[in-house]
Amino acid sequence: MIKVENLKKVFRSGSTEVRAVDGVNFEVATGQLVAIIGKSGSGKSTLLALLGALDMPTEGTIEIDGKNVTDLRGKNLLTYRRTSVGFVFQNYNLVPNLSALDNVMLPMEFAGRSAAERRSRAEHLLQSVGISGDILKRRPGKLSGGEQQRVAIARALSNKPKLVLADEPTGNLDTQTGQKIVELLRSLSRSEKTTIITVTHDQAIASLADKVYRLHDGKLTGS
Amino acid sequence: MSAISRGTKNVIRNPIRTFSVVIILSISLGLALVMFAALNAINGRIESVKSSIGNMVMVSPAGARGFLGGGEPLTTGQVDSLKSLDHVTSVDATIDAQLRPDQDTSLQSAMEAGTLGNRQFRAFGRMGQGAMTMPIFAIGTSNSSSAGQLIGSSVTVTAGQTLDAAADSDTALVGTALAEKNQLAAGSTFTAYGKTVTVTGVFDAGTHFANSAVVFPLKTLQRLSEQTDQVTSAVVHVDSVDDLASVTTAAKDKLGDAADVTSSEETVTQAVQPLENIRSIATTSLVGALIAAAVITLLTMVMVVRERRKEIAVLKALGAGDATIMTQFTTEALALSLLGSIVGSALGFVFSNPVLNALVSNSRGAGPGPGEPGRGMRIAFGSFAGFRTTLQNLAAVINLEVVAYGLLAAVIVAVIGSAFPAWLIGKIRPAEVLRNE
Repeated sequence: MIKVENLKKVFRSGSTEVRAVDGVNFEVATGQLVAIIGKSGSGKSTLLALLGALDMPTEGTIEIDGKNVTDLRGKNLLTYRRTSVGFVFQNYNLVPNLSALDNVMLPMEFAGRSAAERRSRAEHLLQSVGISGDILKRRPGKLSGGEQQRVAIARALSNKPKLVLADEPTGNLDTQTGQKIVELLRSLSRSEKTTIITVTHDQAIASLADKVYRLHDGKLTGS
Repeated sequence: MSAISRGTKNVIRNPIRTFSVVIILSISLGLALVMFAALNAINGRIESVKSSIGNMVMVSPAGARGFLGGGEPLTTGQVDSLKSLDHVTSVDATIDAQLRPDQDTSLQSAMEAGTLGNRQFRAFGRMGQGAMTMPIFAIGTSNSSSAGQLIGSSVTVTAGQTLDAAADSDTALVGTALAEKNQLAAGSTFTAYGKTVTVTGVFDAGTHFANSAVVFPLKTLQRLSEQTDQVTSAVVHVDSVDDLASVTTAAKDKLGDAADVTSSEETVTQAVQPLENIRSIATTSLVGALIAAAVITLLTMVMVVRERRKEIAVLKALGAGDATIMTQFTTEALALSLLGSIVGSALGFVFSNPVLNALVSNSRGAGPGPGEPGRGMRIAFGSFAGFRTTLQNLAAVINLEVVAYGLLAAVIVAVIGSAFPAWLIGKIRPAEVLRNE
C-alpha cells in the first residue's frame, strides 16, 4: 500500500515561488498500475522524484507499507532507493558501456548481492521481458529502443522493489512497441507484486491502468 | 562488475580522448621522471664531489705557510685540544723540516734548483754562498695517509710498507723520485741529523715535488730536527661537509691569534654550485611537471564528470552511494595516469640523458668556470682535478626505483586530479535523472 498525504514541493528562485507539487493526496494498493497524466510542466517528474526519494518534499508524507519515506536520510535513504524502488525512464538511461546483462545486474551490486545471484536474477528478468541469447551481451547502443526499454524494465525490477516509477516509458517508442511495453509493465506488476506508477501523455497507457490521475499545476484530480 | 572494474573499463570508452590524455600525461610524467633521475644523478655527484674535496679544516701557525712567512709554531697540546670540538672525528698533526744534503742528511735532492729554486735562494739572502742545492722536504706526520695534505697530493705506498706514524722510530717513507735518485728501496737506510733511518716503503704522490720528499713519524722528526712538541700544520677531519663552517669557527675560537684556520667549505661551495643550479632547475621542473600532470588529470576528469552528469544521476537513483561513484571515477583517473606513467617511463628511458646533457650545457654557459676552484684554492689545497669533471659524465638512470616513484607519482596525481571532480559528483542531485534533454 502506498499512501501519499498533502505532498508539496515548492521551488524558490529569488522572490518567485513555484509550487511544482501542491498538496497531492492519493492511495495505491500493492500490485496496481497507476497512470498520472499531465501536460508538460504540470509537476509529473517532480512527483516521481519525490516518490522515488530522489528529492525531499517541502511538506507532506509518503508511506510505503506504513513506512514514511520522507523521514529517510543517509544510509536508510540509499537502502530505500536500492531495495524499495525501481525506475524506468523515457530515455532508458542505460549505462552505455555496460552490456544489457551488466546494466540489469548494476542495482543488485549496489544492494550488495553476490555475483552469482546477480547474474541468475538478471538473466531470469531479461528472459521474462523477452531479451535473451546474444542480446544479453550487447551494449545499449546496439539495441533498439524497445529492447533498451525492456532492459530498463528488467533493471527496475532487479531488486524486487515494492514500487516501480516510470517516467514516460513509451515516450520514445512507436505505438506498437509502446503498447507492448505497457502490457509488459502491467503483467509484471501482477507477477512481481510490484506497484507501478507511471507518468505519461499516452492515453493508451491510461486505458490499461488500474487507476488514472490527472496532474494540473501541481494538483492531482480524478481517479 | 565492481566500481573499480567499471572505472577501468571506462578508460577505453572514448579511445581518442584516452589516447590524447595519455600522451599529454606521459609527457608531463615522463618529464617528471627525467627530472627525478637527473636529481638522483646530481645528488649523487654532489655527495661525490663533497667527499672528494674532503671534510677538512686546515690549521697552520699564524703568518706561516710552509717555509714562507713567520710566526711561532703551534704546540702538540694546542692541536690536541681541537680533538674535543663537536663534529671533529680526528686531527692529524704534521711538522716539516728541510734536510740539507751533505749537512743534515746523506740523501741527495731529486730536484734541480733551476730558475725558481735560485729565486728562492736569492730571497733568503744566500747569494754568494756557492751553488744552490735544493733541500729535501721532510714531513713528520701523526697519520701517514694524511701526509699528502701537506704536499698537495694523496700518498700511495708503491713498495714496502707504510709508516707507523704514531711511533717514535727512526723510520721513513721516501718518494719515488727521491728513492730513484738515491737508489733506495724498502729496507735501505740513510742518515738524517746524524741518525740512521730505515726506509719502510716508497710512495707515489703523483707530483715531482711530492715524490722528492721524505715522510717521518711526527715524533721522530720532532726529535731529530729538535722541534719537540712543535707542530707546523694540522688537518682537522670533520664528520660532515655541512659542519665545516661551525668547526672552523670553533677552531678559530680555540686557537685565537695563534693560528690561521681555513677550510674547504668555500671550495665545496664553488665546486657544487653548477650542480646546485641544475638541481634547482630539475626540482622546479619536477614540481612543475607533476602539477601539470595533476591539472591535466583534474581537467580531464572534470570534463568526464560533466559529460556523464546524467549517468551519475542514474547511478545515484539506482542506489549507488557517492563513495562508490567516486571510487569508479578515481579508478578511471588512476588508470589514465598509470598509463601516462608507463608511457612516460618509456619516454624517460629515451630522453633522460639528452635532457640532463642539455641542462649541463646550459649550466656550463651560465657562469665563470663552473666546477673549477679559484687559483688560490688550488694552491692552498693542491690537486682538485675532480672539480673539473664535476659536470662531466653525469648520467641519469631510469631504473626500477625511478619507475616505482613514477607510478607513485601517478597515484598521487590521480588522487589530486580526482579531488575536485569527486566534489562535483557529490553535488549532482539524483533527481537530475528525470530531466529529459
